[in-house]
Amino acid sequence: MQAKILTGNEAVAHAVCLSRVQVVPAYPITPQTTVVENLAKMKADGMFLGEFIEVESENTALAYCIGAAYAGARTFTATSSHGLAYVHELLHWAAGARLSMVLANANRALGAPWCIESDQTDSLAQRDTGWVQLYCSSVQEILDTVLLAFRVTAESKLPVLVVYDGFYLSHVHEPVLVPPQALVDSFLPPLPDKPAFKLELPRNHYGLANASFMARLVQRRFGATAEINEVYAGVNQAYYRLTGRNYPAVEYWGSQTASSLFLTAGAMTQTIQSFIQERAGEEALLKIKLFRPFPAAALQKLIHSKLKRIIVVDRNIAYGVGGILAQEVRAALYSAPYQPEILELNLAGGLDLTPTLLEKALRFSGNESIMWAVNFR
Amino acid sequence: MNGLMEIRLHGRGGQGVVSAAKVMAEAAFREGKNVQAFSLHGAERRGAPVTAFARIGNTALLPRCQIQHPDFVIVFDTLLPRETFCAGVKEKGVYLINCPDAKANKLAFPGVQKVWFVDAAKIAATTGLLSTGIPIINAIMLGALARIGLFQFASLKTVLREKLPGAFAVNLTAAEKGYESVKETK
Repeated sequence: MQAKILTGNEAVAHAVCLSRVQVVPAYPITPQTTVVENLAKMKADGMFLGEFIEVESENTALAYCIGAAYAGARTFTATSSHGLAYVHELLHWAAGARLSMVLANANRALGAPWCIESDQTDSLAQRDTGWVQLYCSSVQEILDTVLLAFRVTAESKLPVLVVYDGFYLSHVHEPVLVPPQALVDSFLPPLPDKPAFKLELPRNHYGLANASFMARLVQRRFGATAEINEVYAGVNQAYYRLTGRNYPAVEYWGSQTASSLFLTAGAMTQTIQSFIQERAGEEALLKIKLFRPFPAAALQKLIHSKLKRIIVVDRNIAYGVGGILAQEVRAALYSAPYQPEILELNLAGGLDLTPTLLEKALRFSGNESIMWAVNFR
Repeated sequence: MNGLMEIRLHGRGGQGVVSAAKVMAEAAFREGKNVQAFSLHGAERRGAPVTAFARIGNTALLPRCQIQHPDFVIVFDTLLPRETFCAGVKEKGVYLINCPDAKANKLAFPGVQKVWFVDAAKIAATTGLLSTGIPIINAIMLGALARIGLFQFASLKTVLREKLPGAFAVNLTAAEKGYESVKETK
């Protein structure tokens, strides 16, 4: 297997081809556009054999995915920012109906005003829709995560959102190992040989429910979502055995005796790792791979007694509260035996995380609960 | 920095700045390096300022931030605001500039060790090196970089052949001209 240079968006298209996806409805939006452009080209070149459908909006794209998933087909689409916000209603529907599908989101800021910078609020704000959310920190990880996502969604009957930072990952060119088709075929479950229902025998899917019926469904979905921790661990283990590449739900990186710990998700993890490595520092990093369900138990186990401070690096915002990862971490550690101080470094708006900012965050001794990166540049 | 070379490219939309970063990364990758190339988007218009970045290193882990302190700066257009391409350049930073003579420019870069220059615009105009009507400055600049030693010319040639099969001959000629013409400011 030889590495080749791909962008994050190209890696997604390759993974969709390798997964033998049957239905791809497509609508462009920066910075995701080259995902669907590449798939269109692969379709024209005879490399992608599924249906490629040009639709008139993101809402229609996800509606097509829902229809295809009802019929049992393997289905995928990609979007960003306003496109993801636009399909919010259907995100609830897809998860509620327990449909298997994968949606890739290249992070981009939400207007107003128009801004295409890499802010993660678009995907993190969908945290209560019932979708599984997986974050990526390299082009290799994007390709691998799309494959992981198809198996997770098939096993759990919950839709999966694969998330990566716009431009920093969607448009970066870097070396990637593209697994052979046979490996992917052995990793993913077989495709259905016929649709799940016949058009000649119409059925009503998901009619009107009363509160007690709905309440039981909600509880069942809640249980299914909690089981994702186990499902994901199993799928990741299976992929690790095949490729040697491992993406734990939450990963501790660096010194086991660190007193300061950075915590983030996505492209910024690699900048932090490189920063720690460069200064041979005593810091460590927690990389959040699985954001929904939030791996609270796994996170608690990784918090040791030497830790004095967690610096949560959020490139997103929940107005009136703070960074979204920071909120999740506070909630997850509420019952933890060790309670390190939590400091927020916030880059909402799409600011670039630089080594200078990380140094300033380590030295920060102010009283503010949020260090706004825009004030420290 | 563990042999990490951080390169920042400044030019305008239509000059092939982003492609140059990508081809550079591809060429170094053929020589066994870990590489990364990306650009700042938002103004993908012909003539608008474009900044692209490339990292060439020996370690598996490359940072993902924009390059604030480049080892190497490549300037496609000297009419861009100087403060943008001079910002944060390392003390021993090296420049490659598309201009007729870099002597005047060198005066403006105190502390910088080396300024290379190549008159890419003139070479492209006088030799008719055009692709879809646009002067092929980026291949000339890439040829110059091979001479300066960022990667070998043979690697560049391989990448141009693979990535631009339809315009290989003209790009190769452009790269060769750049390789031959680049000069260090004394």
